Amino acid sequence: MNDAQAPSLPAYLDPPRHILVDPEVIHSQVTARVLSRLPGTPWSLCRDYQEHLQEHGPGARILYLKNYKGRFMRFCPGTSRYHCCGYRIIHIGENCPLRCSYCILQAYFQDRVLKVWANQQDLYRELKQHLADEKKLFRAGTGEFTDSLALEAITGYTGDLVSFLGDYPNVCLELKSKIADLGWMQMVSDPARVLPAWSVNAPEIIAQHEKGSAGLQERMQAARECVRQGFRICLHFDPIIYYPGWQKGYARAVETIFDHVSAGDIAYMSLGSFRFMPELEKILMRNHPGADYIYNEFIYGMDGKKRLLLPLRLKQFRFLVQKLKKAGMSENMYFCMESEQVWKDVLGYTPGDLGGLDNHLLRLSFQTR
Amino acid sequence: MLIHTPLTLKPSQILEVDPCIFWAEKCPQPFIDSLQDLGQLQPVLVRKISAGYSLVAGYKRFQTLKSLGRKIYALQVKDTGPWEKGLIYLSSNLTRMPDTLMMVRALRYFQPLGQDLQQICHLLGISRGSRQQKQLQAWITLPSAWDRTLEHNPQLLTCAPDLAGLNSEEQDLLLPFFLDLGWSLNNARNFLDLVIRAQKSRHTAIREMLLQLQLDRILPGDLSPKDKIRAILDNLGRAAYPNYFRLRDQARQNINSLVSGTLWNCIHADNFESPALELRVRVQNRDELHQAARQLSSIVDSEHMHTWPVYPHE
Repeated sequence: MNDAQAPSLPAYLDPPRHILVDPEVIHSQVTARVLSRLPGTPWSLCRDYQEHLQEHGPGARILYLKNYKGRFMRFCPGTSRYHCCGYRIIHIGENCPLRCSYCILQAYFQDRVLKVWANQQDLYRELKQHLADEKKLFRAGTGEFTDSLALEAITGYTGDLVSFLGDYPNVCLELKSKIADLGWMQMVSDPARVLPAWSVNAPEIIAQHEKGSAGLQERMQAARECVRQGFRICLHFDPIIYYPGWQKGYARAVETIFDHVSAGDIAYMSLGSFRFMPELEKILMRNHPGADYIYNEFIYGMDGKKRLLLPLRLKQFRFLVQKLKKAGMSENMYFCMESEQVWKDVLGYTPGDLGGLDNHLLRLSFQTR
Repeated sequence: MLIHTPLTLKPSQILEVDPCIFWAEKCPQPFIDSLQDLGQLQPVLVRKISAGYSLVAGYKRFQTLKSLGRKIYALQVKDTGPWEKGLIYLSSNLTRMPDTLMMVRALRYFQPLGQDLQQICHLLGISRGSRQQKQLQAWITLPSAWDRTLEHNPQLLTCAPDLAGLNSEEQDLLLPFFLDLGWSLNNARNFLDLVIRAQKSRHTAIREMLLQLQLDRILPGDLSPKDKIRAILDNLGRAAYPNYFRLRDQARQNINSLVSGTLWNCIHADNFESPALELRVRVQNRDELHQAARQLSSIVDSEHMHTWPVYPHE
């Protein structure tokens, strides 16, 4: 399935310099597909990952097709003392070819090697166990440790996954991305069970700090196409960045969104202010010297992560929420990692009022139009 | 590399000390006593130059024997380049445990010679790719005037990557702060971080920022060194985090009004992420506990409680 001859690579995807393949997955479907779609790229069997890493250097553009032995389905790590959305992660790989300056993966992982869990049969086996009880509903997504779609042009992974999940109506899969790839769509049997999702931001933030990603227009055109095909979409204003002129930038972002879709097309929308593990700060300063937003008033939050001083966050949240409400958004807006007080203050309701954020989002994700 | 013909030289025949002696230091008294009592047990190394010799290793022995007016037992090194001379010197000093400043001096000698420093790092006991190696490599990009700061605070080495990120004018502007004041490592890091943040948030050059914040006046002022550091960090903090400091000042004022004159101590520890306050009391007997309870009751009813003292959702 999904094995058609690949077109040339999209602009955001620089071909890897080398492909490493774990011997156990040499005959896997993903491996065959990747090698056929990157015919000119040298590859070798990976017997000692660390040795290869030393040989190529930690920053080298390597694609690693791995026989993953960990858990594929996980809870979102969340954070203590702030409300998490309770999203389930389907772990399909690590790292991302896009070059977002603020990307937390820079601090999360020790190298920039693009890793794809090529043992899909093990993934399916685990999913079958988790999803066996049809009465139990799941809202899951693949966009936690990688962009859900950024490698789709060479792996076809999401196409495979939505095809597999077609047999499990109790799971709603969110595909979170910053690019516009709809190649997976033809593999979906029920559009109600897939939520294509885009991270959205002010156009200048996208242009300056999300290098390699699609522009907001392009993302929203893809979103509109999804809506035309019967999908509902999700949007994530995350990370909201504090920069000179942010009001104009975020107002334009809201306008652009609703030029393409209407509030009723959006299953849910999150808002999250830029927050980060303290380790990211120096990495970001070193890797992205133009990212001046890192010099804003970030304080240590109650979870030990750094976040913008609350009154500044509130200013941005209130501004955005007011615009979004005007555009028709209502209780399908939520905050990612904020306190109950922020919810009450800005949205006028709390996760408790909604019956718990995870339950609320689960309901929204399974809602039909 | 050596000519194994021993030489016995008058001190006056050694005309110069080669720059490869990058760890030249004053001779300690026990060493002088030993030379005096037992004589010279090991030769110094010299290189032939036109009218005499140049010293390549054995600086302390040379200085001591010269001051004692004794002849010097030497071995002659073939005429070699600065890299080899440096290696000979370093190798003849391998029994010494180099401290941070010694490592810096060694690397400063070898670095301009354009060869791979890995061999030198190995001899100095610096692990390849280690944080220490990165910090040392960053440090030797700083002007050598900075090395004086390592004399009394070798931990400053950890600030090297941040310092190396500044241009030479900025480095020159900050050097007096490190030469004149004894910073703890935390304060030094905090200082650098705040300088960069304050500068970035004000969109101004470091020179202007230091003038605007009057840090140039604090340094030569009459305050104690500890108070100078406190004042500098406070000024910088206010420049880098203006909203935070405004909230903090306001909250402190409100909290002080609330508990002043009572046994209670009140703090807000959440960086304004929540309005939470912690009230603490230390009592030693039942009477004090009664007193604290009465005070707590009046705190609750106080006019200062009409508005919550820490209200982050302003």
